[in-house]
Amino acid sequence: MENNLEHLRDQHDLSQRELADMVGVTRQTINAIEGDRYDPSVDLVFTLARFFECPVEDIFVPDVALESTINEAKETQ
Amino acid sequence: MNRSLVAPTEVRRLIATAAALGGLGLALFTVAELPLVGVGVYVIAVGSTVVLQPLSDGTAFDERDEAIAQVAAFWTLRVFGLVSAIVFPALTVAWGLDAFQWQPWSAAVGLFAAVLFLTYVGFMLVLQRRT
Repeated sequence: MENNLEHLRDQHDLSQRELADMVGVTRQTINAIEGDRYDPSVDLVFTLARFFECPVEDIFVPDVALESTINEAKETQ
Repeated sequence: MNRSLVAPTEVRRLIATAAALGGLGLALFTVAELPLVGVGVYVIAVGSTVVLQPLSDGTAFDERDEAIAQVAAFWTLRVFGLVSAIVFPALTVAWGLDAFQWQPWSAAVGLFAAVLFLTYVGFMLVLQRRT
């Protein structure tokens, strides 16, 4: 799942460690999310959205393949 | 920042080191026929991991560590599953044909795998009822 976390963090002038402390995770987790190596839990996704005061979709971009599968399923209904 | 607290990365490193030293100490002192010293080292190491966590000035372990542990558990079960499904039946057939003799260590490994999967099946049944 792609994301704009690094961009948002830069906009707020926060280090990975500062953001991690504010949302209650480790710096390594923020680093792994930014590097697209870890998909966060739903709880963490919403915590980040609340922290940046934006919709979830402004931070996380769903997989294109998954989105097209959902769209195809909707069209066949 | 409180100076008495330690950076989370350092706490993670210290806990990993303490856990490794505890396990290693227990094994080495047991082999050296000093079991009480081994258990003492192990208890101190495990105790230090409990003491170290609150000293962190941030989150030391989080959901990602849990996710990594779950993947590691999945692969551990998979490896043991393959071993149980292929190696042990093959060894049993070989034993039946007098081509293999069970040794105490191979029997212990076989028994361990059986207990591991019985525990796994037990948890599966309990969790399926609960969720």
